[in-house]
Amino acid sequence: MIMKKIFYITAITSVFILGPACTKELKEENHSNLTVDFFATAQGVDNGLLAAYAGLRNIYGPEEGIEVFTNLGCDEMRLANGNRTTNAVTYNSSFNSSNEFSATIWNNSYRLINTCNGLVDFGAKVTGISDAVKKEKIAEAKFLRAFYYFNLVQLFGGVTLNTHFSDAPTTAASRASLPECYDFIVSDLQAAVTDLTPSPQQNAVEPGRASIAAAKHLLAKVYLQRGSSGAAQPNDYQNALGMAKSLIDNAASYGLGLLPNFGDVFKAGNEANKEVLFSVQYSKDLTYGSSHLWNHLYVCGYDAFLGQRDLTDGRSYSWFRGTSWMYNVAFADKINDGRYYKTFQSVWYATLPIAPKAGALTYNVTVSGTTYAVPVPTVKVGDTALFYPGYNMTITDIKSRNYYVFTPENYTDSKIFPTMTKYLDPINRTTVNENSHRPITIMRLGETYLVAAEAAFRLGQNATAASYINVIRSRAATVGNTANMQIADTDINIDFILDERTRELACEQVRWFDLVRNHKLIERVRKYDDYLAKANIQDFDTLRPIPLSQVNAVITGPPYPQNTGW
Amino acid sequence: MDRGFLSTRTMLIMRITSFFLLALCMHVSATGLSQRITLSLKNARLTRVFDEISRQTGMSVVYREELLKDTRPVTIQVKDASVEEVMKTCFEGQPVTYVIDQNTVHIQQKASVDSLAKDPQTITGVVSDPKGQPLSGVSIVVKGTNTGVTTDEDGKFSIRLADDNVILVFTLIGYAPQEIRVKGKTLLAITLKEKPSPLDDIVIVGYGTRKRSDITGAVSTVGEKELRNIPAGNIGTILQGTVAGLSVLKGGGNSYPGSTPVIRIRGERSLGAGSDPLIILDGIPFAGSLNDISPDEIVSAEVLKDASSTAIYGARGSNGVLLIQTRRGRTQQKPQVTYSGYAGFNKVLGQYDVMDASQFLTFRKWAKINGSAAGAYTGLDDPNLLTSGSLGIFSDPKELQLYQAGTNTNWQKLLYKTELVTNHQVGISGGTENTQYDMALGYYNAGGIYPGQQMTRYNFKISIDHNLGKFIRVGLSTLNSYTYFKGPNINPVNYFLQASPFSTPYNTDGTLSTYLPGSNQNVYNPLTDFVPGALVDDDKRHDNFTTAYAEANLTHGFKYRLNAGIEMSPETVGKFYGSTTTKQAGTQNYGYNSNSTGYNYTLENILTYDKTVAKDHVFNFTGLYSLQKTQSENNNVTYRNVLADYIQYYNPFYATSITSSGSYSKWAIISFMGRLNYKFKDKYLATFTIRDDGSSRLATGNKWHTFPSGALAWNIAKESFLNSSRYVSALKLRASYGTTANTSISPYQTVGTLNGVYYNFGTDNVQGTYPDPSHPGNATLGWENTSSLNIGLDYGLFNNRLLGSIEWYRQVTDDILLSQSLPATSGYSSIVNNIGQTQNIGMEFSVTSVNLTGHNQHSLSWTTNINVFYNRGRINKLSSGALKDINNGWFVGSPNHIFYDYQRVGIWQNTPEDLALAQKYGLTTTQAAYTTGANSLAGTVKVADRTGDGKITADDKTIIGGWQPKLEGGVTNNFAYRNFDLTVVTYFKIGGTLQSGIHNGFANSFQGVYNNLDVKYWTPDNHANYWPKPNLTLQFPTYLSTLSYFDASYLKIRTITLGYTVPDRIAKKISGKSIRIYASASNPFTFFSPYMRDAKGLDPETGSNIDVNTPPLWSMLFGINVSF
Repeated sequence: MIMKKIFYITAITSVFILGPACTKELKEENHSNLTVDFFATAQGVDNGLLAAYAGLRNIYGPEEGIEVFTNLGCDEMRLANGNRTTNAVTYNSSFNSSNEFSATIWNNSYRLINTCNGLVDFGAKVTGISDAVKKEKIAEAKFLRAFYYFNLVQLFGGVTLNTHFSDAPTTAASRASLPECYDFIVSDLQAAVTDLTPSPQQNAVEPGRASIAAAKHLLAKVYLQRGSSGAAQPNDYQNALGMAKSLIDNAASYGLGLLPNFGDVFKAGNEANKEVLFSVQYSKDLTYGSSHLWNHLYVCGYDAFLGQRDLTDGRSYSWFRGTSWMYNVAFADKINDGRYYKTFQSVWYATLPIAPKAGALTYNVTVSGTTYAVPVPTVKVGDTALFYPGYNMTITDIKSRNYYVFTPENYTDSKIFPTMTKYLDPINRTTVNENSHRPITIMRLGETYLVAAEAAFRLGQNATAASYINVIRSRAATVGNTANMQIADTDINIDFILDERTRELACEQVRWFDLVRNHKLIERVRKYDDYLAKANIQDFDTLRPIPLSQVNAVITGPPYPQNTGW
Repeated sequence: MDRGFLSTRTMLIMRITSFFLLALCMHVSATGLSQRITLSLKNARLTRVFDEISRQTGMSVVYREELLKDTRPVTIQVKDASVEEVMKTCFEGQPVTYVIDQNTVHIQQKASVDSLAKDPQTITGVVSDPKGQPLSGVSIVVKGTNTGVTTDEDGKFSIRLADDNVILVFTLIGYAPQEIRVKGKTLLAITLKEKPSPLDDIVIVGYGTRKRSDITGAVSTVGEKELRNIPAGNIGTILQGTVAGLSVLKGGGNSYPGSTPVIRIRGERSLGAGSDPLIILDGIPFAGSLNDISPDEIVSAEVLKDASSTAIYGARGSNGVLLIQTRRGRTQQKPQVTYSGYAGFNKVLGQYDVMDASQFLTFRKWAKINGSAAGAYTGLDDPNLLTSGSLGIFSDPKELQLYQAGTNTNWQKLLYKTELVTNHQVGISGGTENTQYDMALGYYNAGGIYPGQQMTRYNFKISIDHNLGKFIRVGLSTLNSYTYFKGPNINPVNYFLQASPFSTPYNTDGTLSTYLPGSNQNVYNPLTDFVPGALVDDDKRHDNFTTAYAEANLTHGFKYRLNAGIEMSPETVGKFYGSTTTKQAGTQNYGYNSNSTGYNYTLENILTYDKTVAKDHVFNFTGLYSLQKTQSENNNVTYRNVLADYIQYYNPFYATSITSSGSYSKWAIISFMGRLNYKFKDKYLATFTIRDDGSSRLATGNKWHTFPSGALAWNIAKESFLNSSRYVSALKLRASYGTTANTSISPYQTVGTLNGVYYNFGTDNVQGTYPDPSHPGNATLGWENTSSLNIGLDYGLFNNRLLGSIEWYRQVTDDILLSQSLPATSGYSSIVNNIGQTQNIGMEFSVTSVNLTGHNQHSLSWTTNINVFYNRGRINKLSSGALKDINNGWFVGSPNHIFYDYQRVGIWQNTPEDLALAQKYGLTTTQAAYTTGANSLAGTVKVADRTGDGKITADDKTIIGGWQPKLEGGVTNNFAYRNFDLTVVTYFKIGGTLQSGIHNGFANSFQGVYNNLDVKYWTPDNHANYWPKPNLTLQFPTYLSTLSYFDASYLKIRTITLGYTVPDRIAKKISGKSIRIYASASNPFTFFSPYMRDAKGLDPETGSNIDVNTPPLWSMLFGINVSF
């Protein structure tokens, strides 16, 4: 009978529980995800801004990041060893709109632009924060938005211009004209130039935050780039020079300045130095700080000679190496100009003993076209084991050295070439194959001088240009050779400026933009590349292909226009 | 759907339900002891009737057991009848009679069969069927002789015997043979019982049971016997190859212990929502893992395939339904104790064919020569090659030394081990008239091929069914398991395939090295993963699945049932990856904990009504109101740098970089359903179902949808023109049409959500949030509907010796829940939307053939079960008229899961024709550039210029294959001879393409840095035309992916089981009822596989591709089943 009672109770209660619960049960109850409306709160704007900065890591850091599109496929650097970048950096016939490099930059940029749009749109309306803070945050968002758009415009031309936040995506899209895009970028940066904190070195601004100094540098570059583009405005070069000059003249008051030693600018651990205007942050904290692999990309195959890799010399990815133009022509002066040996590695020390049986092993060295078999040296741990002098030596001289010697004539594709050292990370890692935790500098005062010089040159003010360049060259001079580094206004021409930019800014994610801006890409690649890009590059390669995923996904309205040639 | 209508209807249903509950209460309380009898029995033994009489009236029924031997079961339905009336009904046509004496009923033998003549020399009699109808043509033979007669039209016979000390054997096709000892009798009344026909099997359908012959939809059943033939860790693996239309294959080819297969019923309909079938365990939706259920507890599995059968599960039935029934106690069953157990081993199916030292040496030389400028080497014999500098092939001096010492390490041999598998299950089952029970306790343990991989499961179940009085039956069943997986993510395959055969895992002092010499220090020592405590990967899972019901037989054929089930599956995952393991490769160690919990319950109110009108019109109505709800929660924490390895994942306090996250998810479905079954004269059958579902996951306004379906069946064999056919014993034509639905997308797709991201400003660690690009809200999300048409023919030929069905179906799925790619300029990458249409057309053919009946236990019996089926999937429409979505691999007119790639033609050969073609494509300039140097084209993969524009571009990609096979099926052969039984289960697949990850990754990079699969690569002399030349300067050869597609056809012997049933007399000595011992081999042989033949693949079985995963296994098990 007890069971019966239980049954009745269950049966009857079930009816009363189930019935009214009906519509209530079908209501969604969310506890695990923040929804879009949070974005419109003061806290949401704050967090959104952090995310807008964090997105820089998706463009500056990964293998398929911006370095492939800016440092490679130019006159400076070339492929050393086949890898996933091969098609893109050699402009070969397999490089097309389905390439992942276009898509990575494109997709991340638009995601971040939408985030920035949200910050600008909602930021103005949120309550609970002071107007000053609000203004500053919106300016940061505008700075980042302009930065992301500027990359897109330089790579792809006039692109879709979203100026407001979207939470209801569509499958339609069109491209704005280049002038429209530049106008928007300029207006964002004009706001940033006034509303941000003045300097990354003042008011305890954390490394990696936007500042007036960074905004001025970026705006100067935007004017310069636009001035040479199809969207040129009459005052662009004047504005570029003015903006750069304003930054240079105020640098001291901002606490900024050129470091006395060029080598310290890219010294590991020194990424927050007073020359740095803006950077992408990484740190040793594996969760927040993350990592990137730019430290591996330029490392030569030294381990074939040392017998193993080590933390100081890096992981031998051997993906990219300089062209012989870079090693030998751009950096022809290795005596007065200290930058060659501060940009490329020339000496490696043994981490294992090298002890071949007497006369048993030789390695080949070519001198003046003749190949000689040189005995493998006997080396103790800590001794010099490998030397890239950067200049040619006689075979007698080479044989007299008790270490491997490779002169420029011997730079073969995959293993033998000097490592470009700007991103090596010997201090933050525990194993040699670990990725880097170094912040990446993307704007520095050194470049501002060259921007000013180029703008002055375009305005016909060669003397002004020379004076800016001489500041940079004086800093670069080896001890006692400052005078030899000075140039005169008659030395100034666009090729000199471009060569000087290589010497100062090699592998700093600007080269392709520099060449395109000055309409020198095709000419210089054909002239100076010594690998596959030389023959493959075509006139339409001054713009990158719009990602196929973008073209394919626009299924409403007119099709998305592809760049010419792609 | 209109909200007003909904609430009105809800109220109505509530009222009806309340009314029946009320009626139920009144009825039960009105029932007590009475002198009148109310009985409703179907095919009941007389003893059952006697018991009821005793119970209801208090009278005794006296009889001798043997008297009832030849009585037939009775069907009786009376209300408030007298004892006399009941007895009269029951004894009509019985060979016995009765006398009522006050409070006692005596059962007696009938005095005589008057109509037959009496002759002491002649034995006469009548043979009838259980209904009392005379049987003609019954053969009556004196056992051991050829002497015999047959019965006449009235079922009568007469046989003259010299001696009555003989045994007469009565046989008739379709009836069980009977032997009668004549001695002392002259008059025989024989009742031949019909052989149980498979068509009379009771099939469990949604919310009820049906006789197989009454089924109107497409339903396949696998019974207990078939299930027992294949010892395996989960039911999915057992079902492979047994049911037409059911595809069960290893996911990604992965074989770690506890890896569950991918199950698909009639292909895949959805592109964005899930494609897994709904599993109904003991009547309640089951959301756990297949590993949670011990296969030993399962007594039947049914696959519901068409809309009519699955409509009853509406919202969740569109991917088909798998009904699983566990064992219950039976009425009047003496307690029976059973033990089943097996033990055996798992062994890797083989080794991947990688190069040995001498092969690798030559391969590396070629890689070096091919990757260098022309003339850099004099040839393979150039002494510079055997050095470790820039000219040599050894990446460091240590590797060179090991080579010189003659090292030739077989890495796979070092790693693979043979591991034990054991399974024990003890059960006790029994029941009285009113209470039945079943209890079981089980243990399963399987090791993997790597040290540290293991799955251990403990399970217990209890089920009780009880009659509360005459009209109410209640039951409860609880299935519980605790499963402990170790090392599901241990997978160093890539490392040991890449490892140089010149290297060894040990340093000179005998300790394990961190990375291996050679291969540029990019290959970590796979053995470091197996150091105890170095790599801990635990997954501990409970599953408590409890179902309960209460069923009330109301008056006038009404029945009410309350079904409830709740499942709780807490799961704890813990990982610790030590610094020196392949996972961490020397970086800081890593820890991870995850705790998940949640529940999933179902409440159902079911009302059924059975009514027969005018004798021939049988109606059965089922009404349902149900609520299903699932809630899950998870918290997890990730950290680094645990201070001591032995802390493992147990205490994150001693770690840094601690981050954590969590999730919560809840969804519900509310359903109203009505189903009407109608049967006319067993000939014409109809089923109509209408279901109304509301899903929480869809947008307001689109939450509700109605799904109707209907089915008709015609039992042609029951028509007069086939009734007496000698060949056709069953023939039924079925047709069904209906819609089902799918909402199996993640909850919260209707709202836009944010994503979290980490960042730092110097030493200041921060977290940001931004709109999730793949998760914008969709405020119009609605149901995905599948309409399916099914036409089936069930047949039984030659007295059901050939029995089977043929099915044809077409399913069209509309408004597919699809993750639609968005242009990045929208700010988002994708959105879940209702777009597109797919269709699946297929045929299924199945037959069970009794090849040899095995008249008695001394003759061979042989049964073959064949099922063959195909499914042709096709995408009919994508969003907004788009014809292709290359990003997702969807093309209108093609099935899902296709390969879109360049078309491989061969290898660029060193011939003038190829050179000319290469020049035409602009791929090369001169003969010298074509044949020499690191970038030369000769020896690389040649792909087709399909567009014919003289260039190789992305437009030349085409659909070069897909997962969908042309045909698949299974053949099961059962043999029995004397006490031996042998079962061979075969599965085959014809057509389809698989992609082999092994062939498309670092183990096949052709770079010469890592060890490579031993393939016939191109050299200038051998003109190999499939695999390209090795080239040190290329990380992977261009178009490598085009080389990794293989024909996925094969035929596989899934299991061979040889059993021996110990003779009863021996079994009795240990007081056992039955003892069977067996040996079973799983996955022993595979034939006709191009993947194995051409690419030396180990096992072509996969539900998708062959990933770089735990290699396939075969196993050998020895088992015993005993019942006491």
